[in-house]
Amino acid sequence: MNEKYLNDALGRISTQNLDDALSYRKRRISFKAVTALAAALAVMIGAGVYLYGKNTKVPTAPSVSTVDADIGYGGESTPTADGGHVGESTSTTGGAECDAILSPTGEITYDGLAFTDEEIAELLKTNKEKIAQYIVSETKDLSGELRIATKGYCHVQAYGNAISLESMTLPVFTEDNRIVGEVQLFRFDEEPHYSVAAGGPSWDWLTEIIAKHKGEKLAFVYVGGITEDVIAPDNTVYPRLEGGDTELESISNAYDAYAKEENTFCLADCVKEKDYVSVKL
Amino acid sequence: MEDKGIISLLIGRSEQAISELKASFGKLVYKIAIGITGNVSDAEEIENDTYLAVWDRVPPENPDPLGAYVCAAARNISLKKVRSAKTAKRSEDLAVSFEELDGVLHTDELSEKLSARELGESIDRFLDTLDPIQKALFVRRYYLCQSAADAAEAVGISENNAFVKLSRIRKKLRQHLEKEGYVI
Repeated sequence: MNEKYLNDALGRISTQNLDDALSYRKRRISFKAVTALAAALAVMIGAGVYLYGKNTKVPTAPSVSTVDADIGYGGESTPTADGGHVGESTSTTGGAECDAILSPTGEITYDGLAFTDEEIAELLKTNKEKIAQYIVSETKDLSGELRIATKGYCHVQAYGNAISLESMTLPVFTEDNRIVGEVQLFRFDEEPHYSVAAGGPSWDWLTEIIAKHKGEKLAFVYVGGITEDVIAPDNTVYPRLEGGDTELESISNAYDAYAKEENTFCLADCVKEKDYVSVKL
Repeated sequence: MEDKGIISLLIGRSEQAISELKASFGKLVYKIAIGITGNVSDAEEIENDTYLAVWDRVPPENPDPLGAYVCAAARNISLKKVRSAKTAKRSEDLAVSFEELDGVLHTDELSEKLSARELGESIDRFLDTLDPIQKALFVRRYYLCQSAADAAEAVGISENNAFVKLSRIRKKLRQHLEKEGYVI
């Protein structure tokens, strides 16, 4: 074994990666931060994100810093340049905490103000062209029409078994059932807002899962801070991050534990015109 | 105190900077040192040497983020300490973490194909492909030489889960190196 060689190589790890690693710690999730997690996820999957306010109002994006993440070297934690904290203490500040423990047999709880059909319809009516424009700019080989589902899905947060009703994903798909992006609804000051995500490989990933489980309701779960898993009724768990693994894989009844009406989605249910808003390309 | 405040103290040559460094990073620096040397007195010495090293280098350097800079200094000083010891004075965690990586990288053979710098740059690119938990585990286990239990605790997962993830990460690292043309 060439220890010096290995050490010298590891010593080349960039400050940024080192800081990323040190800044990551067990996260105590504030339920109110689920919208922020969704925004962070959209960034992670390599998608471009547009943040728009309802109509012309542009809100301050929900900050990932609202996630109540904590470590700290010693008595006090140390903010990093990106607003995170570095260290290893276990103190927390603010937010409704939940233990970072998977509770597949626990009751699902609900949080937040759900979106009404009218709110979704109004938001899509006002913004569908901008949404389509962005998705087209980020996606190859698009033609025909885009369809934005009007009934999307929320996510259950596996750390605490809570579904935030004020964070909803509306899949965007083509006539041939290819998922090409999503509209993420969230509330800010109780008003509905949205972001759009498109581009990158993760949509093909979701399209494949949907095709493989055609006609089945898939459950969407956040695990920890910013990872998303999809669970099929046969309990197959698909982590969103490429090559990722998931703690849900070890749960034999994951689907039954986490699948609720609010966090499941079946593309085959989006066949009637009332089930989606279309935009001609 | 925030990083900027400590940097200001260092630039102003205020000795309070040392106590602030200790308050902010002391626990982590000590963990790194003890993880690599496995020796309490060495760890205490390394902790002090780390603060002095930062004192000597800032200014002119202005590290951002400071935490990563301090960690890198602590690691380097710890490894230097281990190397300078004529005996096999090092921690079990360090030895095991080396063995785990070497089992995948076969460093004796790999070193003939690419320099440590090239390997380091490739590993850095590899880290960019990992999700946050994986990245944190890799760095804590193989860069900071923490035990799997400590690394697991730091990222909030079980030790068993950490072992599984680390195993997958090593496998992915090998695939990454193969993909980059470094046939092992």
